[in-house]
Amino acid sequence: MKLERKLDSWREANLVTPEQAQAILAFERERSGTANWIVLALGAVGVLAVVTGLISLIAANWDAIPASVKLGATFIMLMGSLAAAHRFSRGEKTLASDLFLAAHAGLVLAMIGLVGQVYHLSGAAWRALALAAAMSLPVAAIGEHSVLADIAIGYTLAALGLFIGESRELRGYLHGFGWGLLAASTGSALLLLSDGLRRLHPAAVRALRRWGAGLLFAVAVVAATVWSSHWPGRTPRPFFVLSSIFAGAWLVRLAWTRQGALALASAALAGLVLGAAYVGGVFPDERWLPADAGTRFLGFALFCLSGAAFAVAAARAGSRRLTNLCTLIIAARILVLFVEMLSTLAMTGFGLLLTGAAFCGVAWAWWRLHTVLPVRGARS
Amino acid sequence: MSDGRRKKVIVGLIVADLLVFGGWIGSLEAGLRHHAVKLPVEGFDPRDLLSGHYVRFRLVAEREAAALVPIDLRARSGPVSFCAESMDGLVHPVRMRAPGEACDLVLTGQVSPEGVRFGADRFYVDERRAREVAFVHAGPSTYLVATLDRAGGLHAVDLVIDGKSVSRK
Repeated sequence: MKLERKLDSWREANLVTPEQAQAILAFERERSGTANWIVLALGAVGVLAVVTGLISLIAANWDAIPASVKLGATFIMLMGSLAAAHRFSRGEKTLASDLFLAAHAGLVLAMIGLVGQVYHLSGAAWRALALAAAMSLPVAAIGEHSVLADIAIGYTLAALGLFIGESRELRGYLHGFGWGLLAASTGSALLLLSDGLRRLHPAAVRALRRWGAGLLFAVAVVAATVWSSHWPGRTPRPFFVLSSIFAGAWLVRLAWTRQGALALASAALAGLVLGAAYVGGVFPDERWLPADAGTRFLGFALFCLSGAAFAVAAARAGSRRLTNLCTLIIAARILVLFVEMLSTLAMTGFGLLLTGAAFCGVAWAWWRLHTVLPVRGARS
Repeated sequence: MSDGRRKKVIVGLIVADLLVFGGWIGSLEAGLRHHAVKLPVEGFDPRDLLSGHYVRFRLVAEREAAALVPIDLRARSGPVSFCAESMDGLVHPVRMRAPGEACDLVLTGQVSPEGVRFGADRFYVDERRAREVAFVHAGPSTYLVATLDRAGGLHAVDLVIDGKSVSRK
């Protein structure tokens, strides 16, 4: 008999008052909630241990398992994941379906690797990833959740990176800051693509924005170090031209849609990244002095300008979390600048004064930003 | 996307998986059904990667084939075929195959400025034998057992290092 029914019968028999019955019910619900959490946690640990143990046992006896069994089992899992995804492809169950599709995308790569192992195949790794990327694209297209697009983008970028790294003709273009320019161009291309798909596939747009912004942020951090250090190698010109085209296209797009703060942030970012290529030396006779104080401060100013403009754009878009993140990134860059300048006691004192003043300035700007700009969705 | 269209795409993926992996495994199995030959190898290098333990080697035939390619063709990239002959039980390329020429044994690979590759440079081994293989030295009785399909493609069957089969259980 359930507790509610028992309490009803006790209340009817005047053994407990309605208030007491409510209190007992609330107490038992809270206790059972805690117990459920503990049971779930212990169960999850147990299942994880069993699954890991099974994988370890299979791995330990991997070579004793006939090739046909290995291929057959992986193929059945491949088909099974699709069959399950098909089974759950109904309205409210798309999360389960998408999880099976994500498992399928992982199994495709596992199957390619297994065929390569069983038949002792040789060949470039990018081919396997390119095949996996091609087979994960339809999955990303039908996915309701962005993780499927994340997998497709991840495979595609890994295949592209390996292809360029292994290609005799293209490998040379990665010298100097060439790989940084390629990554920045790829990030810009992903952001442009996300703009194009905005109405068609919102889940893919989220993934494209994540990857595009992530790539650009990583390149910006590395570019900032190029301005302050002796960067090895000279950047070939083609990637410089390519990234200039992408930066130009992105800036035109932002100007067209009148997103002033984002356009300013992007222009500063483009200056930081393309400038890093110049600092590293795009042309044989035009090599800057990276350790020069003027160059270092120019790089620092471009980074902070880009970060500040992104913070303003994020605040205007109503994202307090992004605004705070941009502010933190600027603060981190200021600390790095202080470390860069740390050489003598006089420089340490000067650096501390400058860092303190800069931190106060950032704090003041952050406060102004949050009081002046119409920040929407303050809880975000 | 509607549930119906989503289901159609998933059915399409099932068909694609069947065609891609079924066709791939089928063609590899068909390649293994041909006559087996022995190709000498040199400079093997035991590797241990996440993909499994494998031995990396270089076919002597690749070095011999590179010497047979005219200098003007070495700068290009593309497929290339050689007529091969068995000498003392081991197969060696003897000349470039002319278009339409009939040869007893054909070896087909890819030529590039880096040389000729026949698409066989690794052999996966049992984890329990990986350490043993690492200490075996290459010698005259070190060779790859492979089948040659009609197009001259190589399909690795076994690797014999210093007279010992790597795939022996």
